[in-house]
Amino acid sequence: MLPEGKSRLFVPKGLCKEGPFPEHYEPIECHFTNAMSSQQSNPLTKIWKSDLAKVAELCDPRFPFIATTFRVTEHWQAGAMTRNLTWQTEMVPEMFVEISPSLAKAKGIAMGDWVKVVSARGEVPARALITPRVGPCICGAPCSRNAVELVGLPWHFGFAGYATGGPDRKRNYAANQLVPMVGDANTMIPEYKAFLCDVQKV
Amino acid sequence: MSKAMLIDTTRCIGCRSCQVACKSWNCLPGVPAVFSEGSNPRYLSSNTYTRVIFREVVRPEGGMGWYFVKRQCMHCNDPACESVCPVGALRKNEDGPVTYDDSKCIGCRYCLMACPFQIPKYQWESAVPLVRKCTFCADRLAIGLSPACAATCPTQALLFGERSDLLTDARQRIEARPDKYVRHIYGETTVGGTSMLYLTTVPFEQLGLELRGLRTDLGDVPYGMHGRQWMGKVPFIALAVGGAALGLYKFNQRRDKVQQAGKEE
Repeated sequence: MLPEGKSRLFVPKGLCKEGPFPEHYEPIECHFTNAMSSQQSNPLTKIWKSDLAKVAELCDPRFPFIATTFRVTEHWQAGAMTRNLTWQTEMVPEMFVEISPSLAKAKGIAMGDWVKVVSARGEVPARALITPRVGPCICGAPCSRNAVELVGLPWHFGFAGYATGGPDRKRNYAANQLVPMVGDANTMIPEYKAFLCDVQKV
Repeated sequence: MSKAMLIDTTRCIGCRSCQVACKSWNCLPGVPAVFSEGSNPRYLSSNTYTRVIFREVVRPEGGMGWYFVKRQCMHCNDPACESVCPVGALRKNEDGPVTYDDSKCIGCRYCLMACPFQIPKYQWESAVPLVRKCTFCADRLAIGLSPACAATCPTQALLFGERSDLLTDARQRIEARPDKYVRHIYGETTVGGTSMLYLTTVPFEQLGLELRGLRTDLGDVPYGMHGRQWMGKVPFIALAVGGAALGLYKFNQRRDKVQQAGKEE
């Protein structure tokens, strides 16, 4: 109900750029065709013009895995505060990437190995944390249904401070080097939770 | 009158606030660390009085279990460390904590050997080393506060209170959710009872915790008894060994004297 007592299908003004009904879109970087709609991803996605404005194609063979970013309880946001506290950094000291046992086996990666996570925007070194918490996910339209490995990275690490996320002080361990610089149509929230990547042994 | 802590591991979310609160209250440094697949720091040390052990289990019937078990001094009712301490530096207080007196310790490290939970840690890196372990925040208890870890726990997985009340509470929890809990309170009778009481979903031996200082084969006999049994023998052994050494000394002296006398003649 609106202030004048009537309901509307479309919002007359303001930021909300949605249509009348909820719609499902796939992320801008995706391995699955949209099973819900003929429109693959949100046509009003905001793409900021910068060196990072590169996105992988649909089902890009260079980046065969889906990546997501997450937080851990021991750190706060990009870690500017918590990475400078010794009590916090001793609990989660180094950048890691969660990979499934099946992916680790396929790539010959052992627990704690340094690996390189690569996306269309950049690359990040990380320790391999092999865990069944992540694994192949199956999704997509019926004709193109396939299983794609999921990997997860915390985004608390960086390039300065007491702990940067690794032993090399000259390198940048921030997961935000990988994520797409695109925002959703309404609030410009960046799409940092789903993108494509590759995991390479170093 | 004895205080205790009920550690309901089913409520723990593994945030490790307790580890930080412990270091904060006890003025312990964070040590440089590297990646660990479970939790960091990997071991208890003179700088780490408590840590949460992470156990990730893929259940055979499908799904996953993630178990968090906090480890620290158990504050036994009849502690083995106290019973072997030759100078009385370790003491079981009336209100629960097993405390350690820096000024009395002679650094014999019998407590390290005696503890069935491998809790006391030695300051190996120090020039004047002392034994360090969880104090149950005896200083906080003395002014009416709860231990730092229990005070900070966001999910009330650590409950501080009277031991008898907590045992009643623990039994009620098991009765209310028999599907959720193992019908055993670890610490109720373990080594004659401890001030730390654990409720768990799976038995500790299934999580491989017997190798991590939470043994389940310790029985109900108070471990202080073993310590007193052995330490009670020390004066007699010392006297016997001393007497034997003195006898040998005298015997050797006498033999030398006899030989000298033989040469002179």
